[in-house]
Amino acid sequence: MTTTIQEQNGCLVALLEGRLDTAAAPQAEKDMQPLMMSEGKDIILDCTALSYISSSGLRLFLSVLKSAKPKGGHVYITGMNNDLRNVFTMTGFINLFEFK
Amino acid sequence: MKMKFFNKKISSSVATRTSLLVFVLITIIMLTGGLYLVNRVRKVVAEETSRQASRAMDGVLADIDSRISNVETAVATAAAFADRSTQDESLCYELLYRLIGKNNDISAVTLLYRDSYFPNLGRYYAPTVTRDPLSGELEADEIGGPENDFCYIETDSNWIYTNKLEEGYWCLPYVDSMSTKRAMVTYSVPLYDARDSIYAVLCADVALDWVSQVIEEAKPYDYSRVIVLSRDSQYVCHPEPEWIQTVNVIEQAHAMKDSDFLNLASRMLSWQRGTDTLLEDITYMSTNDKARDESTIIYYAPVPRVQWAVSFTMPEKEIMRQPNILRQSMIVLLLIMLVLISAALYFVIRAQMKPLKQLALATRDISRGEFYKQLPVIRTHDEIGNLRDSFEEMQSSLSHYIEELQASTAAKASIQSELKVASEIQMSMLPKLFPPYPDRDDIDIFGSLTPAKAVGGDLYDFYIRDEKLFFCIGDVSGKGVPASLVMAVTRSLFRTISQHESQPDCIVTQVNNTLSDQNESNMFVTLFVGILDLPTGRLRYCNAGHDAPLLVGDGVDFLPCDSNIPAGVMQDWKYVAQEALVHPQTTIFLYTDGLTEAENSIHELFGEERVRLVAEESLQAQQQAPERIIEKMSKAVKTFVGEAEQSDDLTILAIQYTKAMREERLHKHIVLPNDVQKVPELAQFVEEVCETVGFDMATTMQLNLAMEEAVVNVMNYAYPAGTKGNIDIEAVANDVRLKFTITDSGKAFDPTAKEDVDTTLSAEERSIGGLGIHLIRQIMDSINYEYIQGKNVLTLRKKF
Repeated sequence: MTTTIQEQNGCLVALLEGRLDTAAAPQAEKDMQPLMMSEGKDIILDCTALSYISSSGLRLFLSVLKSAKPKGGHVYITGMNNDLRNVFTMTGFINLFEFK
Repeated sequence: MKMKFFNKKISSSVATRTSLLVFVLITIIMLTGGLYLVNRVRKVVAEETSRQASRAMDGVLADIDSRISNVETAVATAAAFADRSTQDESLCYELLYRLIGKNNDISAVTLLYRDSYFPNLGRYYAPTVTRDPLSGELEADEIGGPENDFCYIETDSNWIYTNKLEEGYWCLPYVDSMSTKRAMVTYSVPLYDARDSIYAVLCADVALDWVSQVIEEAKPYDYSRVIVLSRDSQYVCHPEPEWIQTVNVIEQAHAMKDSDFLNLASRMLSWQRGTDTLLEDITYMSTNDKARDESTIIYYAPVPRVQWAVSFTMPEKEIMRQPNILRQSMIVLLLIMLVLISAALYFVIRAQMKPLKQLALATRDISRGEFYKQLPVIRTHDEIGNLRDSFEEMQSSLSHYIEELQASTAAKASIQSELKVASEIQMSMLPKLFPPYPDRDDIDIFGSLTPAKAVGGDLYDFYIRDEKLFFCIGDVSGKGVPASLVMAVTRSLFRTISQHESQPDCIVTQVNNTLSDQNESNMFVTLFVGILDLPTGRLRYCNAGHDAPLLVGDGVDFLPCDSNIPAGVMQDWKYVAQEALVHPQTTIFLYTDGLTEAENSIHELFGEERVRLVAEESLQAQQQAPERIIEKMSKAVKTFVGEAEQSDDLTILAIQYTKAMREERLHKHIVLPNDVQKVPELAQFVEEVCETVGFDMATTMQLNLAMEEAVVNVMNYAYPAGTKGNIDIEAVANDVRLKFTITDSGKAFDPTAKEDVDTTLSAEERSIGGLGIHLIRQIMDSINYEYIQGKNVLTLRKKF
C-alpha cells in the first residue's frame, strides 16, 4: 500500500495504491497526515489504484472528512471501482462523501 | 275452524267474555229457581186438586147416602105400618101406592107374600106398583109366579133366601129384565106377623140412573171420569154404558196384567178411601184391553150403605195444564230476560272498558317504540285510572332506561370495536406466517394462540439472529385487556433485549427487572426463553416459572427446568440458564397452562400426562413435525373439552430442529497469532478458499473484507494487550455454503451482541466503531457466536 500526496489546482490529491487493510492502515494514516493539516483546501482521494479497503481504511477516510469539514474543505473521491463502491454503499459512507 | 274463531272472539273481549259468563251464571240460577217454583206450583196444584176431589167426593157420598137412606127410611116406615093393610089383599095396593108416591127414587115396589098366604089367590101372590120412567105414571100389577117366589128374591145376578133376611137388605145392582133395561138395585125388608115369622117381603126397586147423574154433577172437574164399583166387582157406573153390570174389574185388571190397576181395584173393593196414580187412564180402554197411555190420578172412596166404591179419574195432563202453561211462559220470559240482561251487561261493560281499550291501543304504540305517545285522558279515579297513571310512569321510566341503554350500548359497541382492534394488534405482534423460514432447511416452526377472550395474556415469539433461534413463550397472570397489555410489553422487551443479548438468563433477568419496576398492579408473567444455536443444536434456555416444554425426538421427555419465579414478581432475582443438546429431527413442544388446565364439562383437567401421551402417539406415528403435532394436540384437547367453555388462553409453539448433515467439499485450516500484520496471510487464505469453491472476484473481495473484520476484531480484543495468543481459522464447504469458523481461547466476547451502526447518520454524528460487525452482517448470510468450552467460536456462512 502506497500513499502519495500532491497539490493540484489548489487541491490536495491523495493517490492511494494497493490494499488498504488493517495491516496497512497505520502507515496509511501517517502518510495521510498532511491531509489533516490542510487549511480548508479541498481534498481529492484518488482511488483508481485502490484494490481493497477494510473498516480501518473507512475509518481513516472518515477522519479525513471529519477534519476537513469544519475548515470548509470538501473531500472528493475519484476513480473508485464497483467493488469498493459496494463497500461504501453497505456502510452508508456513500452518503458522506462526494464522488467525482 | 269455527270453534277456533269463536274462542278467539271470546277471549279477545272482556265485555263479551264477562257478559257470556254472567249469562251462563244467571241462566243457571234462574233456571234452578224457576224449576223450583214450577215444581212448587205443581205440588200446590196437585194438593189443591186432591182437596177439590176430596170435597167433591164428600158431596157425592153424602148425596148418594142421603138418597139411599131416604129409600131405606121410606121402605122401613112402610114396613112398620104394613100389618094394618097387608092382611087384606084389597088393602095391600094402598100401601104400595103410598110408598112409591112418597119417594121419587123408587121406580117399583113389590110385596112378595108367603106361599099360599091368601088361600083364595093361589100359591104365588105378588102385588106390585111400577112407575113409568117416561111419564111417571103409576101402574098396579100382580106379578106372582115361580119367577117371583117368596122363598127367595131373585134378581138377575143373585139370590137371597127370604128366611135369611132379618132386616133391610140391598141386593147387588142388576139390569132390569123389563123393557127399560135400566140398572137397578133393590132394597128388601121382611114383614113379620104376630108370631114373629116372616109372611112377606117388601121390595123397593131403585133405578140407578140418578147415581151417575149425581156423581157427574158433583165430580170435581169436567174432564174427570166417574167409575162406581159394586161389591161383586162389577161396574155400577162407567163412562162406557155397555160395561155396566157386564165387566168384572178384577178380571179386567188380570187380563191387562196391570198390577197397579189390580192393587187399586183391591183397595177400592176393600172399602178404603185414598188417591192412586196410574200410568194409564183405565177409563179409556180400547178393544184390545189396552188403556190410554196417560198418567192419571184416581181418587176413590166407599159408600158403605150399599157397599159401592166411587172414584174420579183426573188425568195429570189436565191437572197440570195450567202449571205447564205457566212453565212455558216462564221459560220464554226467562229467555227474554236473559237476552236483555246480557245485552245490557255487554253494553255496560263495553262502555266501562272503553278507556282500557284506548289505553291498550296507546301502549301498543309505545311498545312499537313511540315512547312519547300521549296516553288517553281518563278522569275516573278507579282501577283503570290507576292503571293509566302507572302506565304513564312506566312510559317515562321506559324512555329514560332506553336512553341509558342506547348510551351504554353505544359505549359497549365502541369498546367492542376497540377490543377487536386491540386483538388484531396483539395477534399481529405474534409471528403467524407459517412456515416462517421456508428457505431454511434446519428449522421448522408452527405456533397457535387461541385467546379465551377477545384479547389474551399469552404470548410466543421467535426470530433468528446470527444463526441462533431466539424464542419465547409466556403466560401473563389474568386475562383480558390488562393481561394483553403486559403481554405486549413482555414481547417488546424480549425482542429489544434479545437484539443485543444472547444469554437467556440475561434476557429473562432484564425482562424481570423491567416488569418488577413499579409493578403496582402486581401482574407477572411466566416466561420460557430459549436460544437454539442452529449450527450445533445447542439449546440454552431460562425458565421463569413456566411449564417445562417437551422434547419430542428420541423419546418424549420434559426438558429439565429450574423452578425460577415468574418474571415481574421480584426485582433482581437471579435467574439461571440451563443448557441441553437438541438432536436433529427433535421437536421442542412449548405450551401454556391453557393446555394442561383445559377443563371438560366435569371439571377434569387435560393434564401433563395427556399432553405427554398425545406427544408420544404423534412420535410413534412419525407425526412430530410442528404443524402435525399441534394439529394432533389441538384435536385431542378439543375432544377432551367437548362443549365446555374455554377457560384460559391456549398457546402452543412447536419448534423442530431439522438440520441435515452434509458432505464436506473442502476443509482448510490456518492458525494466526494475534497480530494485525498477519492480515495479508489471512487474505491469501481466504482467496485460496474462494478460488477453490469458485466464488467470483467481487464476492471474494467481500468475503476477504468480512473475514478481515472478524479476525482483526478477535486479534484486537480477545487477548489482553501485550499477550500472545492464537486464532484458529477453519474453512469448510459443502454443496450449499461456505463456512468460516474463527476460534480463540481469549476472554469471552460476543461480537454479535452489539447494536448495529446507523448508516444514515451524517459524518459528524457517526462514530468510528461498529463498522466491522456491520460489514460482516452485510456481506455474510449469517454470523453466529458461541462460547464453547472456554473458547469463543465465531461462525460466518455464505451460501453459493
